[in-house]
Amino acid sequence: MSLSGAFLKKSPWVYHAHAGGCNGCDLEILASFGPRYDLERLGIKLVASPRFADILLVTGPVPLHTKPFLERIYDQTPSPKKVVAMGACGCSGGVFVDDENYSIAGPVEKIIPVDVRIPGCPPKPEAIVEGIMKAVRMF
Amino acid sequence: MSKRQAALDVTEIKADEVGTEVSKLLNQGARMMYASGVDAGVPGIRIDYYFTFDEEIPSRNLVLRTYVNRKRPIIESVTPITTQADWAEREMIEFLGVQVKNHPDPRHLWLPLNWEDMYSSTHPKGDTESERINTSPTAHPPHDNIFSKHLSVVPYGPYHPALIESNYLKMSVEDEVVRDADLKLGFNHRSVIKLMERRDYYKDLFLAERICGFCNVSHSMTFAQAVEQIADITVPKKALYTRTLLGEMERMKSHILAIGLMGDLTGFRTMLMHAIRIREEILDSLEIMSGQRISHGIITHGGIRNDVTPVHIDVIKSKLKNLKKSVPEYFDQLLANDVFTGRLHKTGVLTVDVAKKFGAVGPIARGSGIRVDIRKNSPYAAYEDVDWDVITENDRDCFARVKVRMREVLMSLHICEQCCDVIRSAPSELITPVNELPCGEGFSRTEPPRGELLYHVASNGTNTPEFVRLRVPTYPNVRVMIDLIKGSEIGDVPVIIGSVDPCFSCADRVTVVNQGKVTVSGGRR
Repeated sequence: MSLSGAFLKKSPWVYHAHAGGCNGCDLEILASFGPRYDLERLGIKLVASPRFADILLVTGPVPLHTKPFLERIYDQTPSPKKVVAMGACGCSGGVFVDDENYSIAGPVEKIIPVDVRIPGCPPKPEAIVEGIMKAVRMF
Repeated sequence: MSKRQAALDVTEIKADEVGTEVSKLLNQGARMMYASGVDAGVPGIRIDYYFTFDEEIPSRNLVLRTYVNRKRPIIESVTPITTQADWAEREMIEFLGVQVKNHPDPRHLWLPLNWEDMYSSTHPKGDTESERINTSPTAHPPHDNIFSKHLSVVPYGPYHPALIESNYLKMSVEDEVVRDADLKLGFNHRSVIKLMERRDYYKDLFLAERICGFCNVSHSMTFAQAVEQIADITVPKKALYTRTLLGEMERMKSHILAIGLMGDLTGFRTMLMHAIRIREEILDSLEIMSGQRISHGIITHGGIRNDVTPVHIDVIKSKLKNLKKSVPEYFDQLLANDVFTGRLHKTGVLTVDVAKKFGAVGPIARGSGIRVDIRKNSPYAAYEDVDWDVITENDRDCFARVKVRMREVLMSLHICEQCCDVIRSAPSELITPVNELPCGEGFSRTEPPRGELLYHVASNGTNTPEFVRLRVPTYPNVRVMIDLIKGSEIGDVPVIIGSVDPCFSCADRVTVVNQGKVTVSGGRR
């Protein structure tokens, strides 16, 4: 039995999973939860554990080391859940795509199913707000 | 026009003389910045030990270079002589397979612990043909490592997932006191310097920017400076001042966020939100100049890409005027809070001796009263021509480090204003094109917000670099951080981490080991 997503539309909670990457996306996530863009006015909250999150916000190209942790985070998130891959690295691997790159396991969609992609390096806070709202409408 | 940074001074020695030569240099007052190896092919594996003399201004950079046999790459460890070489030698063991004899702690630091299993063909699902990495769980989980220890996990402290990053910190706790701490890195290992050898110099700039979102200007600027040294060109005045302006804006936004984070770590979340609000002004002016808020792509070899027009300068000046009002107000609010100041006083005291022993750089060293600032020690960009001074505090605790950051923000505002005035009237030339890149080596150092960044680039005459070696400021500072955590109280640990302001990037995992019996609080992992 799973919860109907209709409840989640009011106030989805977001867990930010940092899977490698350069911090640029994380700074923009912080800015979009800050005073100017303020995602919290839409009922969206950043939480510190995947166990009570509804939306996973994944940044970065997923280094080998982080891959098992990302899989575990995905398993820990209760369903219904949505995954938002953020940034050029999260969507496609970005600048780190290379035949001889020995330490990248991703992009994110190779490891866990992705529902919404937010391209950009890093995306602007406006784009993050829109991407998360798209994921919210999918519930 | 400012002078060029000093080039590398290379001394070749025999492999068995390394210990004596290193201790000779250290006795002369040198600081070991880094040690790294390059597989040079026929002559063997080349190992470089980088030194600098902080007391001399402009400081001299020195490299001890030695070659070891590729078949039997054995070298004596210098870690017993100086702890500054500890992580650098662990890196050599991991990435080059150099056998460092008598290293006290030769474990994996960056690569996954089951790394050998991932590549070996004995793996049941091993794919030897395409040599793709096998990431499925191995049959033999690694023993004696940071993961397999008996752990009791405590959801640790108020921290922000975006800010304290990719470290796996393990602490043995007795009552409230941390007895031992260990760190596992590499959650963010993206093999950037390997990719740099495969791409041309202009693409490498973008790769360098993506190493760190906090200090991307410094990364691309340092790489460009190293290449400019090889090509032997002079950068136009306007480009130099624009680089200085970008670097200082980056310092302001990083420091303000670090200070806001300290507020968050002491349970004062409003201050983090104020910090984000103030940062937006800086991000706006950076967006006007370069078109991007975080990674700018404006610095290129020989100059800058976009023009900064007088109209831009007017907008930036008005933003700076707002900042001049809001930043001191913000700092006064923070300093008027007794909880905040009382929490930081006498916490995490870093003595001058320990800071020198581990080779601390940046605000961490300056908070202990050591005058180390690469902007002064070996000036680059326009730092010789603008009015500013190195900021030091003598209290040596977390509060001193925060105060250094606060005063540096105000100093940066002062530098930015001067740069704006010069850029407005500077000649419009933006870039000196790099026509030819001869064989050679370039070495460059800058001061990002967190300390000293160095790049060593070698050109072989083609369009890709022969090798790139870089050392980020977090590298020596985190070594200091572990030492500060040992012996401190468990409640002080987030504040100490926040005051060192490490920049690994990645989600943070702090686990607490209670030696002896396991107290379950928060569940087993």
